[in-house]
Amino acid sequence: MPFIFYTDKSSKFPLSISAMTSLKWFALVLCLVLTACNNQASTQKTATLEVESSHSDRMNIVSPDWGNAATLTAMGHAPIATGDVRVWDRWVGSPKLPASITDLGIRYQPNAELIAQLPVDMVIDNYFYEHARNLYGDVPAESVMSAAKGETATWADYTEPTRELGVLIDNPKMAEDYIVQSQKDIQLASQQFQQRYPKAEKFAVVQFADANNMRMYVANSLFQPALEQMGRELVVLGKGNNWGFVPIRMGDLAQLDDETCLLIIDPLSPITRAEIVDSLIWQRLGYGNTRCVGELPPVWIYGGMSSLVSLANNLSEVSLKGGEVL
Amino acid sequence: MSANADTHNNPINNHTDSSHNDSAHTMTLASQAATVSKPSSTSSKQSSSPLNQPPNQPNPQTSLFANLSWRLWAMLIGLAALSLWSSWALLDRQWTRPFSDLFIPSMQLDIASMAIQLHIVATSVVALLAGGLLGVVSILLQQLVKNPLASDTTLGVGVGAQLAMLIVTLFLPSLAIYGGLYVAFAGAIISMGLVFALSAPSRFNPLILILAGLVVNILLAAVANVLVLFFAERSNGMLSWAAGFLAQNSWHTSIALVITAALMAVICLPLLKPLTLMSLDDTQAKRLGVPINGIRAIVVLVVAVVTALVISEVGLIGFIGLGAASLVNALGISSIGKRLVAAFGLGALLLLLTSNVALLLEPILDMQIPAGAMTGILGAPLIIWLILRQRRERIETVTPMLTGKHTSIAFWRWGVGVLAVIILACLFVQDINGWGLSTDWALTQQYRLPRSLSAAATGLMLAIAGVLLQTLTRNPMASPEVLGVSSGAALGVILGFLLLPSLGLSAGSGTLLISGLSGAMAVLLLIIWLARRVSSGYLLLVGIGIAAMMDGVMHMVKLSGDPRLEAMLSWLSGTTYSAQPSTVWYLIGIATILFILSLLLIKPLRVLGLGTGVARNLGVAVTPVTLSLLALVAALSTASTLAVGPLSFIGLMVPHLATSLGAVKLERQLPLAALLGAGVMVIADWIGRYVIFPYELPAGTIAAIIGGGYFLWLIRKVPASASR
Repeated sequence: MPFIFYTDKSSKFPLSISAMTSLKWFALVLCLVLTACNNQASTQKTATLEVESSHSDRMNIVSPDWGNAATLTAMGHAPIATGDVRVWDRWVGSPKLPASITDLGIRYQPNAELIAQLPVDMVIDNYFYEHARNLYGDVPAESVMSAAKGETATWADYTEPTRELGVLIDNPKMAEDYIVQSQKDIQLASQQFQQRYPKAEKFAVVQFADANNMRMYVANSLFQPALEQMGRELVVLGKGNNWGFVPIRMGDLAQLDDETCLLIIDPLSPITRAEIVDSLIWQRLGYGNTRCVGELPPVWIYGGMSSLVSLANNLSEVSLKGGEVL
Repeated sequence: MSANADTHNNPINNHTDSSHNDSAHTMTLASQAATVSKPSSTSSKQSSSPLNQPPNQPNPQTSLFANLSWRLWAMLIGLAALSLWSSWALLDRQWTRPFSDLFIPSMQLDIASMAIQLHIVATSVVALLAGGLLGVVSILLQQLVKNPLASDTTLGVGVGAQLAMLIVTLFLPSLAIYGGLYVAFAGAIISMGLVFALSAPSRFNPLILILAGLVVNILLAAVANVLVLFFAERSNGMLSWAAGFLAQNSWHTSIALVITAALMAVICLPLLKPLTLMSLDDTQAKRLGVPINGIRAIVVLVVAVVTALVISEVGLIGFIGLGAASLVNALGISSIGKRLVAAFGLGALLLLLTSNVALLLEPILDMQIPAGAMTGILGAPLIIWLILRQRRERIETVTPMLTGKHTSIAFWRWGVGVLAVIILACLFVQDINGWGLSTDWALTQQYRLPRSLSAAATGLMLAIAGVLLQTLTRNPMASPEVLGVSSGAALGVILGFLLLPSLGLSAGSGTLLISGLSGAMAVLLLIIWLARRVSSGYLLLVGIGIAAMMDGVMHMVKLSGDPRLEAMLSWLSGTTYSAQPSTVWYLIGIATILFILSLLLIKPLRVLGLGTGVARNLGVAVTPVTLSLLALVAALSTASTLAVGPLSFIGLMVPHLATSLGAVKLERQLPLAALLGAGVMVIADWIGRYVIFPYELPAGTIAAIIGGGYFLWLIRKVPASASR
């Protein structure tokens, strides 16, 4: 496809070039060749305008952070763009993002240049993203944070941010409906789980950093309200940091009693998995034999309401191995 | 002690100075007989070594050196005592059963006790063996290349093994599980081969060798950085391996390392004699029937295998090898057998002590502390202390290495070129619809121009800082990045971020700027203070140490799991991401002002470059000029570090690039380097922003890769130009 200059300004470009030496001519020719090789014509302006004119009925949200993006998507009002889309499946899992979503690049460094090209009405982030705030130009930005307010995370800590999201997208009812639906979903998952593993009462939740080091999620993490809603108990070894976990070693797992079921949150790299199997302590701990263990698909730990629902759904489908609770 | 050392050194110092006066920048490397600073030969000439000196020759210095080495031996005993004490403290805190229970077979203990037993005993065994092996490896490398700065860390052996492991882990995980050792070995051999191949034409000139190692290190680290950034989702688990956790949960690693150490001892025994002969003189050794190349090949293989094994088992443990070898050198041990044994012992003790300190600190800091990160943090003070101890013992002459023919430079062409690059970088971009020429002024003005301009400004500032530092310290390897000034600025920012709130100050950009500036200034003052006391080769060690310290802190920050800190890390990772139309003009203004200031200082700087003595005779007020230059370099480094992060190559590379393009004199080198720095940084920034759009790679990393590659190519050319 031939190259098209699509604005008046661009015609000045060759004029300014003509003043330069032959070297720069070469560079220009190179650029033009490269451009010509590219099939995507730059018809961006018109495309953008069309979208802008047709979006008035629905707020276009950009959410670099995964937590709000997941909750909004689950609610039925998916953002038009979020960060790190290519690894969403590995870390967040469900809900699935719509295929039309735009990838903003690295979450902590959302591509501001790209955001400016999107027909965006509002950016929703949380306070970890404050450094990027002044890059959004004149687009309004709001902060919504789903996290424990005190030492123990409660159901309200997750319903309140969901309602805030509902207000921000001008659709409080959508949020209320979603909260009700979430509670129902969790109850359903809870019943399923009860049928499959009636004796599994107590859970400890860890995520491996390597074979020896792991994070144990404690009372101020989202596992507390999720398990509480399901009528189960979260067993912890100590008080967590601000981010809801306490770093422990594999040996510390010996402090858990035999009735406590260990839940391992994915992703778990194949190398770490091999090292864990190799570990003398792991062999002695007897998870999968004398003690109960299960592996859960990824769930976004710093997420909101949708993380609670996915967690409950994952748990209802988990296959536990070993121990007397089965 | 000092009297003797001074008399020994001064002639060499004078020689260095006078030769600088003679031919200033136009001299080539080979024409300068760089005093090969082989650890044993130089010290054995001074100390009455039983091997190399006829015993009947009276030596008045013996008592002095005995005195010196007594102090060092006392330090060694102190080190052992500290290790023991820390082990005891650890036991006291964690082990509740009788002491003898520590050594009964693991399976007879209950799980909790077994976990603690492994945590204390197996970890200690691994620490002792890994540290010892790294110490031996470093001494072997030093014998091989006759360079007291050689070690697994400085010659890039470790980082090569690490990168190979990283690549395999990302793309072929099953190979990493079952063939980690072979992969790490291949990586170690390749990176070591690269360093050797680059320095072989210059006959392993100590300077070129370490420089090649340094550049390979930074280059491979930058590549690893890109991989981890882009494949972050696959590299989880790599993070803690890269940080070097020693804590064990089985005996596998201990057993593997015991076997390695035993094999190593068996292999090293027959190597002792040929190595002793080779340490004197290669040609003589050849005459005595030593198969020099064969021995070299064996040593290289042993080094690669052992380093690969340690790295694949426990991760990257920097500095222990270098620290142990430097201590051995400081002790003045000259017999190779004793050097190897001492290096094993010292390396073992150093790593055990580090590991114990890390384990003892864990409950205090409430996080898991990797020993590898800890060695980096403790390494810098150790290196500085070591340098101060042995500052008068060995010397290297450092000469300007890359030369160019003096040619006239059309500055306006370069200026127009930089402008054209900036314009192109703003016009030829990838946007929401893919590649194309975009003339959307709103986007250009808001996002593209500020970033390109701030890249240009930081490139310019780093290049100027590099020229100033290289001239001031008369060291062609000096640059804000290499000497640790940029790392100091970054450390200052991190510390400011962590500590300022507790002092009741908000961690805004202004206060962070000041804390960064004080970090850079502290490092610079340290370096200048040391520069008057030690040879320039050791200054590099300080820089490497400070950079490793920052690396350790970064690892800890990453492992802390604090999302605020992670966000700050990405800010420090070296991008122009935060550039804004409202602030970029300040940055440009700062760069211009500092550029003009540096132009004003050219004349006194050139005189200073001849040596302080000469400068004083010529009527230059040395101290005020030096101090103002330092302040200037600190300002330049801090401003650029805050903008693009501590990792980049501009300051080291661009001054040489300018020289090789014909800007030999300082008056020409400074402006040309400034323009080149700006141009390279703009290109690096553009690549980082658009090649994997909407994802981004830090401009500093791209610059390190471009610059590192180009620089290695330049080093390769050195001997050719020298032979002319």
